Amino acid sequence: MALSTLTRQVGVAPLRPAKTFSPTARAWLFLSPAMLFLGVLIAASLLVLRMSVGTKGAEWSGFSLASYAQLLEPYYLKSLLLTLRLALVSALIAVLLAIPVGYCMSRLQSPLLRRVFLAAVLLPLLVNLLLQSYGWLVILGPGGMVNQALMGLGLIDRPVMLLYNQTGVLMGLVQTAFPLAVLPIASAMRGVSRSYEEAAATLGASRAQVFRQVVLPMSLPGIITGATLVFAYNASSFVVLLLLGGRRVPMLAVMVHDQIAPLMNWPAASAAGVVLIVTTLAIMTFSEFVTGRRRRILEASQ
Amino acid sequence: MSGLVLENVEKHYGSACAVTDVNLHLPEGKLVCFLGPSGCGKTTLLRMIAGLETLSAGEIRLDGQDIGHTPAHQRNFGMVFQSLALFPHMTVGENIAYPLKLRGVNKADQQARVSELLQLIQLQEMLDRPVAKLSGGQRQRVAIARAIAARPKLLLLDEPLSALDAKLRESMQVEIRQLQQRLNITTILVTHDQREAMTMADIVVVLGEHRVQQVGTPIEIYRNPANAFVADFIGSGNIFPAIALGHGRVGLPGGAALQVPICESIHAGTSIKMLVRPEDLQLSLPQATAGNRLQGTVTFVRDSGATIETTIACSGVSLTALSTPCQGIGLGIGSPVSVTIPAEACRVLTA
Repeated sequence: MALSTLTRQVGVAPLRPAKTFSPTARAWLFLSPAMLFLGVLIAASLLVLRMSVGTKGAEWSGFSLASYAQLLEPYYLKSLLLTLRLALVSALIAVLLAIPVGYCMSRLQSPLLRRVFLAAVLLPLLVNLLLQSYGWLVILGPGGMVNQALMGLGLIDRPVMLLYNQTGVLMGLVQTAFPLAVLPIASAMRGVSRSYEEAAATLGASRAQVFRQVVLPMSLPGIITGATLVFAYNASSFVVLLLLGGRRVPMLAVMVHDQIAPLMNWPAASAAGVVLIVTTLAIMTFSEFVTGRRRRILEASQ
Repeated sequence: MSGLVLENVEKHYGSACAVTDVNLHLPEGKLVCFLGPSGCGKTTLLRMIAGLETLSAGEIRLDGQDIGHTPAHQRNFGMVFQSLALFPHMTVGENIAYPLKLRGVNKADQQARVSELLQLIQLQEMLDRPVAKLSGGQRQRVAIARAIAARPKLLLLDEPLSALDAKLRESMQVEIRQLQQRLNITTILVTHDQREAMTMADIVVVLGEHRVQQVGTPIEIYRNPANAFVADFIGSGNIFPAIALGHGRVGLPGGAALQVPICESIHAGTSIKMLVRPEDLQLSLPQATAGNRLQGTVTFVRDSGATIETTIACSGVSLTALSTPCQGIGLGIGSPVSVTIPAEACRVLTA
């Protein structure tokens, strides 16, 4: 009796209808919503490309490279270089600050502490950029907390200009993009197992040598990803620039906005946008080219 | 005292004890095996020797010098990890040269030592390969070469062969053993595989239940286990309860009695445990009970080709006998059989 209940048949799995799609077709079907979304974005970018070779008032019918030629004027060229420089410097600073934070996060044992750390790092992404920028105004402005404190201590008699210059913009750029640097670095460092560090220690490496010669090179792909993300994010940043830099730090994104809003010069704005995208892409491709080999070696071993 | 000495070494994490009360003397130039089931604290002990874990109590001395609190990177011990931990961002040559580079050895000497080691492990042509391109056995050898590159005072191996397949593992066991003897380097090997310990070790340290259970040569451990734990863990054995009867005799649960070498200090009436190795049992067709020959019934037969394992119910205990096919006497389940248990093959175990 007991045996028969153990072996009693409780039913059969229903026969599935024959497959109608090939595996490849199903994969594409699975991707189609994302593809549709990307398709719209790409179409919009192509429209921008088309407008950039149009003329003012005849964006769709005219053809002229005047907008690009205009970008070669020293004023615009300087603005492009300034944009790239600020994006690059902010990426470097963000990565330098993110490396110790990411290492800490990757080595936290307690899951609770790790979550608290992660939430703290993610905070800038959760708070509206506008609010963050106003926060910086409150802190750095002429009547802001820093100046009040310095004057109260008698270190200065007149407010120091911390805003509406490159320093202020840089601080804002680094702070708002910080999570983008920390997350890939922390995840790359978590991938560097403790036994590599311990192996290096038994071979005679001090803690500093372990960090410099093992942890850093092994998490290099994550560090590059972090730097690239911050760079791309900041090269096209707008709100922070406008609020912390005003019109005194003429970065390309602000210029694009100015060309459209007051001047209605769509071709000029489009050309500036295209140049910004192309240079950013070129720099990202270059960084991938430089680090790709090492990334593949590291990935092959994990 | 030369060699490595551990005195009252103890490690606990909070209230959980990892190892306690470890007293060992590991002589120079020997291969010592820490053998035990998982969770017995053998790896913790090795990591304390390497300096990767702090001591909760006790002392570790190397050639008379207390090294218990020296940081790992100043101990000059080579260690091979279970994961090997070869640096993927370095080539084979760079991996092996790494400890030399850390010690400020000049480039020419580094190269000379690396090629000497590559020759030793027979991987000369792999110098500039990335580590990811090597096979499992090759990585193994590179990890060992890296660990001994700086001529360490002690080589520590933490289950280095567990990731390899059975065949490669056996050949690596022999290879490591030969290398160790050639270099005459004091080596500690952690393993849970008793065959590996038997093959490789000069001295086996059996660890169990967070303490040292027995220290001895592989044969001593196998032939004269100190207690039931060691007897059970090393090899397969018939371990069964018995009662001391005095005059060198013990009684089995089913009433039969055996003549065994038993210590005079164990009084008649004491409950004890007996160990008999399966290969020491002799089976024969039913004969009259005499001396250490008992009557039994076959309950199970496992014929694996090379050996035949016969399980017999005999005077209230279940015994397993190991015989070769030519010794087989054609037993099947239910057959009556006589079992001879030679007195010299019996071991009385303290619990």
